Amino acid sequence: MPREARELLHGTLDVLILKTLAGVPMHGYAIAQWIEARTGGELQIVDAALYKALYRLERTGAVDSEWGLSENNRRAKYYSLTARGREMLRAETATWRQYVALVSRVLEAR
Amino acid sequence: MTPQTPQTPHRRLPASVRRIFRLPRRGAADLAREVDDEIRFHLEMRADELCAAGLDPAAARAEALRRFGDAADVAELRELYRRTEAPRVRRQRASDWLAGVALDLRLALRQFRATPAFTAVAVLTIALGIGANTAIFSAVRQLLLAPLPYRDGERLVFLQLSASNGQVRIMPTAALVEAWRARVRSLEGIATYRTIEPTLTGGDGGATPEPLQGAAIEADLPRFLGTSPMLGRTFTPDEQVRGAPAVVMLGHGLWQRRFGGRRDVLGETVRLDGVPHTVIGVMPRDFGLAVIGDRDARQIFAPLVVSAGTAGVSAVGRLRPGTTPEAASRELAAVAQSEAAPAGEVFGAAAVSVREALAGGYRTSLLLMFAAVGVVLLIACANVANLLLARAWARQREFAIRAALGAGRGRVVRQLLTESLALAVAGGALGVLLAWRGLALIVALRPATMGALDDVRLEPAVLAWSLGLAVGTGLLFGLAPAIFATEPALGPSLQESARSVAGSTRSRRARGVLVVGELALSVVLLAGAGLLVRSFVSLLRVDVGYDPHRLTGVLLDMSASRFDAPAARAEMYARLLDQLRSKPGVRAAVLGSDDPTRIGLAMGQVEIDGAGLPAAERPSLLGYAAVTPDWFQAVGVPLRAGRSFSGDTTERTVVVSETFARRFFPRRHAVGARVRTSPDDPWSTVVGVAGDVRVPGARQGWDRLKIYEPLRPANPQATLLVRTTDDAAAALPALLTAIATVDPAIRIARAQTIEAALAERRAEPRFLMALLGTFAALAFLLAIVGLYGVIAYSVGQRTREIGVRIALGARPADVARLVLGQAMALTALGVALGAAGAVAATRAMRTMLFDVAPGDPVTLGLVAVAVTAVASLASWLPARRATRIDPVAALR
Repeated sequence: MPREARELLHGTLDVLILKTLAGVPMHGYAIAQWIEARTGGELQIVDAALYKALYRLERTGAVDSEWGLSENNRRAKYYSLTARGREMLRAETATWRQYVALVSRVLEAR
Repeated sequence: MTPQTPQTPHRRLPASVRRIFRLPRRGAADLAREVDDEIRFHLEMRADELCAAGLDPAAARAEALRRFGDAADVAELRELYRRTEAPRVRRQRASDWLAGVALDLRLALRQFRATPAFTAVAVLTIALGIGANTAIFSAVRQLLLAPLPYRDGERLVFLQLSASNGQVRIMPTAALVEAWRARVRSLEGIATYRTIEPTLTGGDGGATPEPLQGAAIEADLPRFLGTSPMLGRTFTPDEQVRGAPAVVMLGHGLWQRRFGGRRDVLGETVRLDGVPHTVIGVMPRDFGLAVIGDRDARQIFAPLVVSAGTAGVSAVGRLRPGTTPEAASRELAAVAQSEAAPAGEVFGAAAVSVREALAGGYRTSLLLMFAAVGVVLLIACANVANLLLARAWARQREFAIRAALGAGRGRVVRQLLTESLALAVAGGALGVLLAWRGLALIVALRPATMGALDDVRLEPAVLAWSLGLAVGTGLLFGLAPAIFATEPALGPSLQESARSVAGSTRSRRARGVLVVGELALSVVLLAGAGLLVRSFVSLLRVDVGYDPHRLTGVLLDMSASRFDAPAARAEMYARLLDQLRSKPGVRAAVLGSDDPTRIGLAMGQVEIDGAGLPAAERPSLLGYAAVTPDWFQAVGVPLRAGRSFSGDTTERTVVVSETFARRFFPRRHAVGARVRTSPDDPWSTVVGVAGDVRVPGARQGWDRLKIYEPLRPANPQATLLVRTTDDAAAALPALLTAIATVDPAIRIARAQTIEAALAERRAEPRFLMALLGTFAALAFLLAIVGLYGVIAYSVGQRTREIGVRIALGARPADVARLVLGQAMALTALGVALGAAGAVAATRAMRTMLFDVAPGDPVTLGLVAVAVTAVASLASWLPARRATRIDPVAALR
């Protein structure tokens, strides 16, 4: 993937995190791995950026956090989606699809 | 980059444990650490993964770090996280605080349950202090602070007029009041009235005459004062004119008493001094209260008939907002001088605040009581502080454990203060209950002069004040022990042997200071109460000089127009006395200017014929009375020398009192000498010397210097004294009916048995004595309990030391001396300080004392002896316990 696309995706990190958390609560490292796996390793996120996004989302009330034990028995902070986060995910997804459709329509126009 | 902060053990404790042990939670450092923990976890996971992929651990860690970001990112994360968590931390703190308070309260209650005796003593002590304060504050509020029941009552002033440089009070005439109304700018308005003392017949009491006090009021007065009748209407200006239909308004008390509170009383006809009047209205309960006299007294209101004549009126005005009584006084005086003063006379005038005039009589005594209950509360505080200090030292280990677990000093202080406040509020609640009962008692005992007390209630303002007092005392008695007990030097406290060795000396000293203060304050109160008791006893013991039993005084007023001629009055008096003497049950009936419980005062400069002015004798106040010849025998005043008057009222003769004779005739017989009390008077011959007649409560001995003159029956007023064969109170109604049957036009201005009149004079001193006595007794009890507590605790603390002494051969007497010595040192210091304080403080009581001086050494001595005796008794118990300490048990 070209470098520019990565930068573009950077701004949409929030919605990716929300999507990731839509299933089960995860800690930060798992979120990063999940996104990387879904993009086939094509999309590498700067880890600090991920946590910044998580803290921002927590502040807006989209996610909630709680200390728990990780799969290998270490203390880790688990993030989960709140009702508000779910609502945000729905809205962002719709906006995103609309945006993609619009951009595609323009790009595919002759 | 991995953040590693050194961690104290308690930081690792989970929140729930921290809560239990009152440890601090989540501060700024905690938040930073949380971020670091999260990052560390992330880095470790990443490194593990890279290791698994084949990198060596060092390279894996480096790669993980690289992929995370740089130091600026970490700083940014920390800041972001802090902002994210801030509201949550705040909420957490608030709920922690509340939970902490709830927990502190639960802990406090558990402590209280575990030590019921301590709790009961502390709560009761505070309850007594706050109860006394609440009751007295209610009374002070009612009597000194409560708004007067009139519109803008605070601006009402009595308008007083005086002549001869303020020496003689005179009543302003209606004409002068008109001039004041027109020209005094600092007054908004003036209303006038005149007190009247009619005799009432009619109503449910039928023909039984009842002497009443009342007021003839201007039609405008009720409106001026902002009062309207509770039934019917007030007067109209038309009814103020001579010859108008006679109408009358009833006071609330009279209406209740004599008319059964019937609402159909309007239109009924009653007779005032025999003249029929129609009842047109009933005034509310507090109308008669302040301005026109005591509510109990002023019970009937008639229209003030304005005449152009010279008869004086009483005037009450209202200051304009922003003006002072002084400014009004100047204006009033200027107008009075120019309008009313005869040539050569200087008129003065004053606007006297109605509130000042009302409260003046008892302000000192009320403030004194207020100070007394303040002292009681202080002593109560000191006592509870003492108890808490002792207990705080006993709980040193508990605090030390908490501190070791990381509880800050503030946290422990807070818990101790919660305990004190809980004690104080519980005590305050109980105190309000006590005050409620106490107030009922105070109202029941109140003297007639404090009639407004009947309306006293525990109002919200008073309750708020009591709550404030409770919180204040809680802080006062809780703070010192809390600070002492949590002194930082807690390390050694965990070691049993080191416990309370250094601390106990300081604690003991603090408790000693408290007890000395308590004793000193209670000595001051006891001295004050003692002086009042001695005053009252001398009031009771005063040999009035006659026999007050079965004696009744009736003030007659012959000013009705039928008795205008002096001869007609003389004839009437003679007929009245004749008829009464012939009644069964009447042993004697005589006339005098006053009854013997009142002093007729006169300024006089006694001169003796042939001796010139007695040396250095300035004009002084003299008792004065005019009596019929048989007065002395009927009243029971013995004649020490000479004789009484002859029946001839024209001869210039006087009888003087024993003290008068001794004072002015120290070296010769008074009988036969000629005296006069003013250079303008003719000489009068002393024909007899009568025993002193004392008026209880009269100060400076005015009552002893007395001159009697023959009563000239031309006087429009005279006091009939009747000696009955049976109880005077029971015979009173029949006596009044008998007077009315002789002639209904004779007005009875006042009728009272002499014993009742004497009791009335003693009512206020008795009331004050009972109050201060109660408070002093309370204070003393508390101080003694405090002393006992300190000595008993100190014996408990020194068990080991005393054990050693006994083991080394100290005899019981030595041990007792050791303990008693400590107690006596405290007592002696307290008594000495208290006595010095009492000498200074009792000066404020000068006006309340009778036949005893402030700082009276006998009273002080008795108090000192009593306090010392009770204090030794209280310390004897712990001393005896100390002698029985088993040295083997104490040293084990």
